[in-house]
Amino acid sequence: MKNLVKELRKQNHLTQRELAEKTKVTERTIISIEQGKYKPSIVLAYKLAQIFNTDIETLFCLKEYLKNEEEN
Amino acid sequence: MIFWTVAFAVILVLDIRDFIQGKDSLLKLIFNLAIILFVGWANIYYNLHDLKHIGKYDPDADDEHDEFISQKTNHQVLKIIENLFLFGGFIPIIAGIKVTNDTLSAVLIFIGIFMELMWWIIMILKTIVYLINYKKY
Repeated sequence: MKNLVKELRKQNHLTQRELAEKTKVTERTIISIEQGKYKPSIVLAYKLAQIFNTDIETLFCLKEYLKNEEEN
Repeated sequence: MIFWTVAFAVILVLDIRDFIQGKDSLLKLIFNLAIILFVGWANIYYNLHDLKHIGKYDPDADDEHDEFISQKTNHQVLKIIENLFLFGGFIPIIAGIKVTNDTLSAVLIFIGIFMELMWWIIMILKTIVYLINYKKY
């Protein structure tokens, strides 16, 4: 699942470890989310959105995701 | 990890060959099997820890991603077991029909039927658990 986690993390000068500690998950989880391999729970998605001062829709490119889903 | 899996498989085949040829006793085969299983398990466990150990993270602490992986693993293993019972069960049945020795034939057919029965039990259990979960959630 495409998302802006990596971009926003770098903009906020955070390492994967720091982000993992802030959201109380493992670094492996952050890596998987950034690679788009893992869809986070709604709670984790909300935590990430709060850290980056954005909303879940923007962070996880949900408009684009739904558009692609409708096309396929 | 693939290297060790292949290495253990080769050792296992050699052990079984020695046992069949009468070079090894059953006790030695069981002992060797136990060693292979233990070393194999330790190797897999070490690799898992190695994979999970990034930075300061404690490999024994599980989060939602680990739970997801665990559920996916259980699901995949169950699928493998299902197919193993369903399709693997036909092999001894067919072999049993073709074999001329009556005792061996009966044993092979029994093993095959047992495997097919196990597949049915898994199917029935899956349906029951699915129904319970459907009502529960």
